[in-house]
Amino acid sequence: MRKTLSALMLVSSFGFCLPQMAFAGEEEAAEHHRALEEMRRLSGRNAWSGVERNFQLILKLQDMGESPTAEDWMLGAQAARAMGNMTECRERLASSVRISPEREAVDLLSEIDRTYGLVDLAAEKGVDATLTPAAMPFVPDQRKAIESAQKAVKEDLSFEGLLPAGTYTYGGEEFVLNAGTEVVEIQLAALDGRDPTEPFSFLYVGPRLDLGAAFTVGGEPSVEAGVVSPPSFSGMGARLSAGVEMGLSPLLGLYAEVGYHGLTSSVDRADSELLEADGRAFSGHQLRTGFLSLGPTFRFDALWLNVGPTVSMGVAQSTNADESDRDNIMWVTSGPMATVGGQAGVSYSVMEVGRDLAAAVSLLGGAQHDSQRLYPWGQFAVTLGPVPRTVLP
Amino acid sequence: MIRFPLLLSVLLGFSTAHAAEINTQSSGHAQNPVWSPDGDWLAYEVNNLSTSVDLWLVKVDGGMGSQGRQLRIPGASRSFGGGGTVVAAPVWTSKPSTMLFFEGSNAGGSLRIYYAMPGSASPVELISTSTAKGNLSAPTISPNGKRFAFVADATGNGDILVWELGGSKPPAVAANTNSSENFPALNAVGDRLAFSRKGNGEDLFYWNVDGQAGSLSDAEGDQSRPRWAGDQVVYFSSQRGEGHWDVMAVNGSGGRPRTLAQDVRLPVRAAPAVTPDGRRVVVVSSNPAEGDIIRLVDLDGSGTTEISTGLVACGEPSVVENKGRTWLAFTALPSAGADWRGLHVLDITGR
Repeated sequence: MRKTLSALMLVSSFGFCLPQMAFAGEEEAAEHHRALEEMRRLSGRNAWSGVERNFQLILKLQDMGESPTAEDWMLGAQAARAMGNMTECRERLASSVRISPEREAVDLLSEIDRTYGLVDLAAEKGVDATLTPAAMPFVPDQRKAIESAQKAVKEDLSFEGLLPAGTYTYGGEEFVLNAGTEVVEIQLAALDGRDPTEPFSFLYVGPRLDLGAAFTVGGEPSVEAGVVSPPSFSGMGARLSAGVEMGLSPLLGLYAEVGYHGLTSSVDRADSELLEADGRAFSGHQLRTGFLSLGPTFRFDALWLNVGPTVSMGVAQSTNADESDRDNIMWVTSGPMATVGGQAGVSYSVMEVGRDLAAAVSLLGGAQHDSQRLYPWGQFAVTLGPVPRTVLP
Repeated sequence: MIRFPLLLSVLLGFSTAHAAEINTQSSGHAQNPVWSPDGDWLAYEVNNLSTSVDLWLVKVDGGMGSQGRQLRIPGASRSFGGGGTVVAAPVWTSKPSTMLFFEGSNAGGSLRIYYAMPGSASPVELISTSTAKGNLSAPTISPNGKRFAFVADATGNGDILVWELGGSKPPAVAANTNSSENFPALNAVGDRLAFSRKGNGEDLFYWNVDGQAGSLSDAEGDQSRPRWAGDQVVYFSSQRGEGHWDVMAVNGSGGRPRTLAQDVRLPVRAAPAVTPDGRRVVVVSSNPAEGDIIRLVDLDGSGTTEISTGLVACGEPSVVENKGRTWLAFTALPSAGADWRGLHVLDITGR
């Protein structure tokens, strides 16, 4: 790319001319004259998009053998300048000077070389490749040149051409652009590999939070005959976790979180007043557990996936809703209740938070077992996680 | 015998100096010279009193001018035809870099504001029609390069718009009454604007960035073309009657105006010239018999220095400091009956 740019500057500066292989007819000449008159008229009104349109027409006539004049190239250069395409402006000026070295064109060519420098910027998909000047100039052609480049790096992921000399940041990398023909070349590569000679380090590390509400079911017990165990119960509760996520590659990471998983629901019994009078109060279903979950994460742009084993420990109580059973009103775990299971989640990133974090909406689900029953659950959550922003220049 | 008049001349600060003439290379009156802030460049207009007003730029070193360059707006290229253009009212800035702003129009076209870098003859429109429609004129920029003001007539009358440079906001309206506002002038830090408004006569007003606005001078006759000199505003006034132009000064917050000089020659379009230290105004008498004398009048009223040029009908002074010396540019006829006014530069260091 650097060679392309340098060659372009060289050719435009020293004036290699390709021979015209076709010869225009009267019709082309008339159309050329009309387009030039139109360009003259429109340039006087600063209507540069119209000048450019007519200049493009003249370039098409060039294919039919009609040669653009120095004035055509000069007006085309002014149109390109007004629209912020300084690279094109310089090329057209050079073409004008090759035909007729008018002082106006030569001076403008010199001015561009004094105030603009060449860049070759490119980024792979998925890399934040924002181009930001340290200070935005207020003169319109310089401002538009930067705005055009910003649009190109955003939409086309690359920009090759002239920018006003100054300090810029491109994808987190600051560079100083000097006026002249030295090319600043930056390629922002996505994190698709690791140099085996480099000592290991995570490509990104950041906090991970999942905050939301979960619906949890305590399933039907699976116990031996004669063993009394509370029937199935369920309810809503908060599920909050915090931890860390570390990137092994732009696609693959690891997460580890600890958190709280709760369930609370009430039970209505018609005989509640009688039970309370007997001193046998009850208070519905409750689950209070702390958990640890870890495993791999997968990042596909805004879509995040994670899956991993989960262990938890906590306490639970369940109230018997069967009013015919007056013997077993409420069960409370007599010690810590341990569960083992797994979870999976899918998140969709909706906004960046600061420079290195992103917020996502998530659906998580999982199931754990405590040797008597299964506890399936589902959660809607807001997730905060790191952005794999770090790039390899 | 000649000792006495010579001594008197020195005591009065009066002497004859020889100005170098800048070759304006054109058939037309040289007018409205304006120095760049660093004193390296001099912009001036050439008016042939017929088809066009052209803007020229000359590099000046030690009082000597190099070959001038005409600044041609798009559509008026020398090489490729054009004509009937008006390119005038230059104003300089040194921040963020040395550049020149001016108004220009092609024959039959709208008056728009352009800018150019010295050394390049390719001006570019500064404010597009999508930003401000209609005729734009009278550009001015604060010396710190922070704000830019100009007149726009899109509403039918002249309104004054102020543009904060380096920001992303479009120009904001500072004054847009049913009367016509003109001649905006920003102070050194760009937070105060003086301008004139035509109602029953032309009067002076101010506008502050914080939104405060008010009257500066509403005397009889016209009060016009304000220029900041420190915290004071100097301007031309015809309060003594038509044809009698005086230079006045008033505090930038208002108050009682003071007369600095009476019956001065009114420049084509410039505000009163002020020395770079902001302590003196530079004027020429409207009395033809005194047309060879340029006067430096102290703003505090403490004195006047007279400089005799040996030329005829001097006018339109502009002063700058460059490399430790003070230079005065002005226009004058080389002799009585000459066709065109020429451009002259004079070293007035220590005067």
